[in-house]
Formats: sequence, C-alpha cells, structure tokens
Amino acid sequence: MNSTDFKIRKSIFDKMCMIRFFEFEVQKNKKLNKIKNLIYLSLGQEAIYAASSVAIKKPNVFIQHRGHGPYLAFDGDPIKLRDELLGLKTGCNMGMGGSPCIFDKSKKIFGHVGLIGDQVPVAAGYCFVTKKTTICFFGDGAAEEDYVLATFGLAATKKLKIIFVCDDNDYSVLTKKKIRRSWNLADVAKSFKLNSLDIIDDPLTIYHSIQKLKNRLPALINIRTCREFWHEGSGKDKPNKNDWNRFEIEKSFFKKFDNVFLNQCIKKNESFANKIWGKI
Amino acid sequence: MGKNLAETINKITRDHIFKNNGYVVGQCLSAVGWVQNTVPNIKKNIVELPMTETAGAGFAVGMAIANARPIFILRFQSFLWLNSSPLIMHAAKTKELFNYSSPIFIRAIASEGFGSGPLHTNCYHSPFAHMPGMPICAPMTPNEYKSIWNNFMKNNDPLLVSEHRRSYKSSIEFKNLVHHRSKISFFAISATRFNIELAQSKLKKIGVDVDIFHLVWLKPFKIKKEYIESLNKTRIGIVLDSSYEICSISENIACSLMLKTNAKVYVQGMKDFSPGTSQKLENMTPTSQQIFDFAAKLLNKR
Repeated sequence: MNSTDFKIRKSIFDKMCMIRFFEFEVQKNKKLNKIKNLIYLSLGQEAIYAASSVAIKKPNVFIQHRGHGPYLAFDGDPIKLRDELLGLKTGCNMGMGGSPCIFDKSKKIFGHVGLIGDQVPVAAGYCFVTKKTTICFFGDGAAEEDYVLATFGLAATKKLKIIFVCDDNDYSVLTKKKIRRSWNLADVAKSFKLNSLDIIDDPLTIYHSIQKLKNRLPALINIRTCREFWHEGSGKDKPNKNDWNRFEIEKSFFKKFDNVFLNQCIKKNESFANKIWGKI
Repeated sequence: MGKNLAETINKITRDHIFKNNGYVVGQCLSAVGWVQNTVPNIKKNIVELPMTETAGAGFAVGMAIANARPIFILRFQSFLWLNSSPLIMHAAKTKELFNYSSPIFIRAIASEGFGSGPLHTNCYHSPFAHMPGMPICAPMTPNEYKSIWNNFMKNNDPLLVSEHRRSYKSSIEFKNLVHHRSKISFFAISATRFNIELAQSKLKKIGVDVDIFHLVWLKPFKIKKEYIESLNKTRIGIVLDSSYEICSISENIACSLMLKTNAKVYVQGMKDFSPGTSQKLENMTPTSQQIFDFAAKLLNKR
C-alpha cells in the first residue's frame, strides 16, 4: 500500500470511529430509555459512508433509514443529530423526523420520508436541477422498489451527475436477498446504461471505486456489507459464517501498522461521543 | 373576447419558463395537442418523463426541493393514483416535518364521457384532501387560474390543481348569485359549475330562485359569511362536485356548513360505482337535468 492510500485509509478510519462511537452512545441511551423513539443504527456499515465522504466532497446527499452514519460522515452536526434522536426542537428536523428520517437542508442532506427508497427519485430530480454531484444511498431492499429501478433509467436518460450507493447488507427487515430476488443489482444497473460495480465494504476499494466512477456518472455501486444490528433497534441477526466485522478488520490493520494512530483515533472519537451524549 | 382557459394556462406556463426559468414536467407533453394546448410548443425547460409514474413524480418533487417550482402535469386525473406517494408522502410533508418546502404545482386533469369508461377518466381530488400539507383548488376560469397561480408563486406549498377538460375552451368568469327569495343554496365545484348555470335557468322557469356559490379553494375551505346567511335563509343546500360523493370533499364541506347553520346540506356528484364504457354505465358530473331533478325533489319534500 502506498503512502497516499495509507493516509486515505486513516482518514476513512477516523470517520468510521466517529460514527461507531456515536452509535454506541445511541444504543446505550436507547437501552437507558433516554431515547424513546425507534432507532436504526449504522453500526457495521460505517465504512461505506466514511469512504464515500472522503471520496466525494460536499455533494448533495440523499439517505435512507440507518442515516446517522451518512449524516455524520458528510459533515452533519452531531449535536443536532443527538437532539433529533431525543425528539428535541433543536434537532436537525426539529425532532419531527427522528432516527429514520434525517434531514438537514443547510448541509444538502435529505432523508427519506417513510417509504423505503422514496429518496431515490427525489435525489434524481434534485440533481437534475442543481446539476451538482449527488450521492444517493439506499438498501438492498429498497433496490427492489419499482420506482428505484425506474430512477436508474431516468438518471441514464437525463445523464445525471448522480452516484447510487446500495448498502447491500443482504436483509430486508429479516428476509434474506436470495429469498426475495433472483437478480443482481449491478447487472440491472448496467442494463440501464449506468456504470456499475459490485464490491465489498473494504474502505479503500470503496474509495477507489468512487474515484473511478465519479467522472463517469451516472453510476451505481453495490457494496456488500454486514449490519451489526437488526432493521430497527439493537437486536442481532443470527451469525452467518460469511459475515465479517469491517471495523475489527480495520482495527487489526492499524494495530499492526500504526498502533499509535489507532489508539489516538479511538480515544479521540470515544471521548467526542461521550462528551456529546454526556450532556443529556 | 379574452383568452380562454387553455390559452391562459399556456401563457402562464410560457412566462414561468422564460421569466422564472421554471420547468414543466410530465409524460407525453409534446404529443399531439400539447396537453389540450395548455403547454407552449417549445423545447426550453420542458422535461419529458419516461412512463414511470412514481419515479416521475418523485423526480418532480426533487426538482421542487431544488426550488425549480415545477409545473407537474398529469394528463389524466386517474394517474394521481400511481403518482400519489411522492406527492403526498414527500412534497406535502416536508414543510411540517423537515423544515423545507416542496413547491410543486400539480396539474391533474379530469375528463369524462366519450365511452372512455374506466380508462383515464373522472375526478379524484377528494382522497388527497385527507392528508395534511396539500392545498387543493379547482379553478375553472382564466381569472381563477391566474389567481391560484399567483398564490402558488407567493407561497412555498405544493398545490394540487384539479382541472377539468371541459373548462379549457371556456372564457366565462362565474359570479356568485344571491336572491332574497332563494329556496335553495348551491355550492358548486369543478365542472358542475357549468351545469349549475343551466340548472338555475330551468329552476327559474318553474319559479324557483336559487343562490349559487362557486367554490375554487377546496382545501383549505373557508366558510364565508354569505354561505351562512344563504343557508339560514334557504335551509337547503347542495354541494355539487364532479368527483365521487362518498367520503368526499363535498361531503366534508356539506358537514362543515351544516354544523354552522340550521340547514340540511346534501351532496350530488358521481355515484358509488366504477364507470364502464357503455353509455348506460357512465358515471359523470351531474348534468343540469340531474341537478334540477334533485333540487326539485328536495323542494317537494319540504
């Protein structure tokens, strides 16, 4: 690995830590019943959002539930997010959206409004008018919605500067992908004339894939990942022999090659999250 | 003679494109007729969507969030069913829930008759009144249309505009009608407004004067003092609409009026069945004869 890649990997890991320790606090406060609403944790999928945000600076961002991660990665305000989860007026949506619907128009971050994948066509329309690079996240379940698939066609026809990122954690609620469909999303995107890739959630792979595609938009990246907790709340999926924990993989890497950075990064982000959540 | 409604809409649209850099979005807009001549025959900012209803509506909502103030055209109002989720779930909610607006001007065009049966027919504004955040109006005249357009441009709300094909070639401006001897009060919506004028002449011939109020804004619906005064005088009201009677805006208006007066307020609109293609299975805006008959029946009962 060259020094540039090593530096990029560190930046990505730093953001992964920020998301992860924030999410641990969310989980803890949910258990303590300080958060009384539904929560959708990004734990396990941090690498996708962290690497994307390092690869594309200040795009329009459209997200689904599990939106804490992308919100934080793309410079959302953690205090506003905390307040949103607590249902406070000082939240990024005045406490109205809660965990599944994270919006912050001042940051050009838009969530979904309760129908799975409904942000995808909206992202395309927004991109069409603003003509700015737009990144749109959704899950593998949302990818099956007809309006999501139709949007790929629209994006290709209108030649939009949009990159669709599918967080493919294999589950729609608790139903696995192989039960739900027989097709591959990247193949379908290709047939709509999108440039597409099907990759795993290795941070540098994500980073370089986006770098490769960001001047060839519209495009789609299907990123295989493992969520750590259920669709909603903090229940666990039954462990699968193919599952991996991307955070632990990255941690082991830095333990081996830059243990000082690892410890500093974890300590900094852990204390940042504690500081934010300690005030409630 | 002034411009008819189609020409008025065409002019508003053209001005929006050239003066505001506004957009017109929809399916088959540039097909024969340019949506009954309501869309200017130009290329600038006319966005042709593929035949993907929900994605297309979502795309238009995204344009609205980006403040392009799109005019989103549904050539047939029955297409509202397929297009509704981004309009209702997203555009209507964003101001209240997410602190930003989605000003989208939704032109939903009702049509009926011609043996079209279940295909592309009728008027469906009522279900959309059920959800918060979506004002609804039904302008039938050039001046009304200009007024609701100005209202849209001054506000940041989405707006569902329930149009009716029958109005496009008309340049009439309706006026409310009030007589001190009136025996019945009509509140007319959409294409019924053309028929009530004829029904009124028929009722006049048998010595019955009536009050007529033309309703443009369906949601929010404001009860005016003159409505109350009229109903307290006639004690009978009929809300007329081109949409289904059951669980409708017209029933809601009738109920609101009854709660404020001592009158009985009825509704007359489409009956509770799906229209077929044969003439005997048509289900349409009440005709002037049907309005006359219903009014006469109510007056006889009294």
